This record gives sequence, C-alpha cells and structure tokens, in this order.
Amino acid sequence: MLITVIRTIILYVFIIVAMRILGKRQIGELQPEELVVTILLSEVVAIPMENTEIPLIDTLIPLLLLIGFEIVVSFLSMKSLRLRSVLQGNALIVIRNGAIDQKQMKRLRFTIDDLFEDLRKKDIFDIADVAYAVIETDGSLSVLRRNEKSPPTKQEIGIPIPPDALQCIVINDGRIVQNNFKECGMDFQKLRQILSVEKIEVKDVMLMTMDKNGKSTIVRKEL
Amino acid sequence: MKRLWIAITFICIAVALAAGGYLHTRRLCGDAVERFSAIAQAAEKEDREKVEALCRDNEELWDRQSVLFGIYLNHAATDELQIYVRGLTRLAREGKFGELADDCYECIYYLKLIEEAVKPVVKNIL
Repeated sequence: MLITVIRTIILYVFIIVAMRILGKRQIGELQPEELVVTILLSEVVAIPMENTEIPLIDTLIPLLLLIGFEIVVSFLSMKSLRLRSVLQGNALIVIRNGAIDQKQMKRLRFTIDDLFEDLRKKDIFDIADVAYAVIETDGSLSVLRRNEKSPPTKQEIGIPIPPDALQCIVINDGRIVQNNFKECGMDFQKLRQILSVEKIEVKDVMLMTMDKNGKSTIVRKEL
Repeated sequence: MKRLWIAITFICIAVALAAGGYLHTRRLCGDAVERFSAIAQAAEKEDREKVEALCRDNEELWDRQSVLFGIYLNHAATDELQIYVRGLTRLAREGKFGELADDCYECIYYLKLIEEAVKPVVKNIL
C-alpha cells in the first residue's frame, strides 16, 4: 500500500507539471486533439497508479511523448493554416440572416434542439434575431445579433464614456498582492495612504480592489 | 518558442529512455542467460564447489541488477525470476543438481522470452 501512495504522489506531480506545460485552456475550450491528449494522459497515469506491477517508466515515456507531441503539433498548427484546418476543423456558419443552413447542420450532425439550446443559453429566443450563428471548432456556438435587435451602445447613444480600467486585487484576505500593483498604478505609499484614510490595517482587509482611474473598493474582514 | 524546446526535450528524453531501456534489458538478459547457462553446465557435471560459487555470485549480481530490471520490466516477471534465483542457492547447498539445472533452463527460457518481448518488431508492436 505504501508503494501505491508513493507512486500516486510521483504520478500526481508528473500530471500537474504536464497540465501546466500544456497550457491554460479550459475543458470546454479544448480542441479535438487536445481533448484526446487530455483523456489519454489521465488514462496513462491512472492505470499504473492502481497496478504496482507496471514500471513507472512505462507511464513516464508515453506521458513525455504525449506532452511533447501536443506542443509540437500546436506549434505547427500555429504556423500552418492547412494543418490547423486538418487537426481542428473549421468554424461553420449554421444561421445566416435568420435562416438555418440545413446542409451545414446535417454535416455537423447538429440537431435543431442543440441549436436552440445554445441560442437560449445566449438569451436568444427568436431565430429571426440572429444575423449569423457560427459553430466554432471546439463545438461552441457564437452568435452575431441583427443590428436592429442588438442593444445600443453608449457610443451610439452619445453617453460620455470613462476610460477603460481593469479592477485589480491589491489585498486578498489580509495579504498584499504586489504582482497586480503595476496593472492598477498602485504603489506601497499610495496603499498606505488609502488604508490610513480608511483607518484600517492590511491584516483587517478581506478584499481591496483598485483601478487605474484611482477607484478603490475595500471589504473589511468580519471575523 | 521556449515551450517548443521543452516539448522537443521531452520527446528526446522519452526516446532515449525507451531506447536505453531496450538496450539495457537486452544486455542484462544476455548476461543473466550466460550466468544461468554456466550454472546449469556445472550442475550437470555435479561440480558442487563450482555450482555453489556460481550460485552465490549469481545471487549477488541478480540483487544488483534486479533494480534495473524492475525499472524497465513488469514487476511480476522480475519477481518470478527472483524466486528462481533464491531457489538455486538452496538447491546447490542441498546437492539437488538435476532440479537445479532444470530451474536454470527454465530461467534461461524465461529471460529469452523477455528479450523477445522487448524487441521492437511488428508482432510485438501489434
């Protein structure tokens, strides 16, 4: 049993490193070949975890090869449009100006129920509102609403638009997140100033956010 | 680009491990076959002193090499050979040379099977 524990720790480390090297894609955004590699990796690691008779090297070699191939293939896909098209397929238009492209639907084996489910998830309940709907290579649906059905933007209405600013976390559960300082134009002096105005210490802050426009939000710890 | 180099390094490591493992297994199997053959021949001649010395040497070498065997081979296979190796020393002490020679040939057969199984040939790949 102790062997199983040690092997599991080793394999856990390997698979975590492997997933980190493979990148940050979310499960729902996996391309077909990435999905295959992810499933294979879990399978390759799971079997020797429970069967201690299999040498670890029999897992390590396929693990290294799968990671290696996946990165090389994704690199080549970046360079070659044709390879990308072969490996990932192409995005296909299934609705044009409110009309369903039945040929594409058949080709994708995509049912009307699937299409309407995805449209409803995007808050579209009338197909006539859709200018274009595209099935992406990862199987998700992207929709462009008809202009007359899209809500107007601030620019179109003529409302003054403040400059875009990203809210960054500068204190998280009593700890200063220095990595985000640059993004929100923060420094220690400014932080001390804000905290002294609010009469609060860093350890008592649950959350503090800040943006480049100088807008900050502080949530105190309750306990 | 850095990630690509990591990928290429991984592929090279994997290929090197696999190739190294294959060559290493073949060499270890070859060495072990030679040792078992020598013990079997000495046992057939009922040369007690030589058999006992060879069995001792074989056990010592096996203990060192079994670690490397374990890295590349299924542990069930190495465990089975381990049992035979331990048994040979006992049989030599008891003077059961016939049985000892049979066990040696059994080990040789087993090692040759392992050697065959690791060869990258079509029948093994498929």
